[in-house]
Amino acid sequence: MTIDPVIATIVQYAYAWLFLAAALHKLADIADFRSVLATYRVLPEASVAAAAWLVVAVEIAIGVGLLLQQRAAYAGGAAVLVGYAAVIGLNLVRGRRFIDCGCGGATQPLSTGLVVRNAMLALVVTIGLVPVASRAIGWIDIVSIVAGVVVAGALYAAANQLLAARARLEEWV
Amino acid sequence: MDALIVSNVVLWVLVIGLSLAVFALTRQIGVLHERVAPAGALTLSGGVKAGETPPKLSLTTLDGQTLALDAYAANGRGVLLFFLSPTCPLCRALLPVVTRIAKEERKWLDLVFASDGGTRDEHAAYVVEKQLQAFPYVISQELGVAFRVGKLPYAALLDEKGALVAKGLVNTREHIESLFEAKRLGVSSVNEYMSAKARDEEVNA
Repeated sequence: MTIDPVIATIVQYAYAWLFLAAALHKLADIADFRSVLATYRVLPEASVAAAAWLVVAVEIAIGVGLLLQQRAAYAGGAAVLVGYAAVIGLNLVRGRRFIDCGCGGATQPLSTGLVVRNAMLALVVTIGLVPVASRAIGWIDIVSIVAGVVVAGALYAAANQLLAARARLEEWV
Repeated sequence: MDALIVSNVVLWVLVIGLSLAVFALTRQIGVLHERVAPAGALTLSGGVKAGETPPKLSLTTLDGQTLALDAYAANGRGVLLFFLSPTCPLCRALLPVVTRIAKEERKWLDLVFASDGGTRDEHAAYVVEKQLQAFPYVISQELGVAFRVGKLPYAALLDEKGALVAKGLVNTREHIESLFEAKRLGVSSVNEYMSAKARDEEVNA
C-alpha cells in the first residue's frame, strides 16, 4: 500500500504546524504550563518542572523531525498524542474533570471530546508511516497541499472552539 | 482536463473561504458565551445579604497571620474577597483582572483571596506560582459558607463600613467590575445590575 504524495505532504506540514505551535504556546508561558501539568497529577511534584521542559523539547523535536521527513517523528507524534489522550482519560476516570486541559486557545475543562480529538489526531498522523507513491508533482498539487494545510488548521481551531463552547454550556446548567 | 483543474482550484478557494467562515463563527460563539454569561445563576440565594455585615470569623492566612474582616472596616478600608481554587481554570484566567483592580482601587480597597478544601501545600504552591504573596490568602470553609459560595470563581465586595455591597459568581472581567458598579449605583446584586443595564439599553434603543 502506498499513499499519494499530496496527502502525505499535507499530513507532514499540518502536523509540523500543530506540534510547533503547541510548543511555542507552552514556551510563551512555561509557568502556566507547569501548573497545568501539575494539576493533571500524573507525575511526582518534584519532577513537574523538568517534565514541562521535556514536553516542550519533545514537541519541538517532533515538529522539526516532521519538516525533515523523519519516520520516527510520525511515530513519536502518534505516541505523544495517544499519551495526551491517555492522561486526559485517566483524569476523567478519576473525576478530575474541572482542571484546565491546557490544550491551547481558551481554557477548557477535560471532556471525552478531547480524548476523541487526540485519538483521531494520533490515527491520522500514522498516514505518514505509509510509503509514499512517486509521481510527478505539478502546480495543481502545490495548490492542493497549501490549501489542504490551511483548511486543516482552520477546521482544527474551529473544532477546539466548539469543544470549549460546549464545556462552558455544560457548566452553566 | 482543463475544466477539472479549474473546478479544483475554484473548489479549494471556496473550501478555504468556508473553513475560515466556520472558524469565525465558532469564535463568535465563544465570545457570545462570555458576553451573555450565566445570567440567572449569579447570586445564589442565602448567606450574607447586601447591606449586612458578615459574621465575625477567626481566619488564619496561609502565612499564619490572623485575619478579621471587621478590622478592615475599623481602618476605613473596603475588601474584595475573591474565592478561588488552584484547580479552577476560570479563577486562573481572572487572577490578573482582580490583582489589577486591587492595584487601581488601592486607595480604599484591600484584596483577600479565599479558598476551601485542598491541602495547604497545594495552595502555598499556587501562591508562589501566581505570585500572590502580596495578598492575604485564607483557607476557610466557614467563610465560604457565610457567603454561600456555590460555584467558583466567586467574589464579594465589602464597603468601607464592613457591609456587603454585592457578591456573586464572577466569570468575566465585566462581572467583577459590576460589583464595583453596584457600589457606585447602589444596586445590591449582579443580577439586579445586569437587568437594570438591560432595561437601560432597551430604553436607549
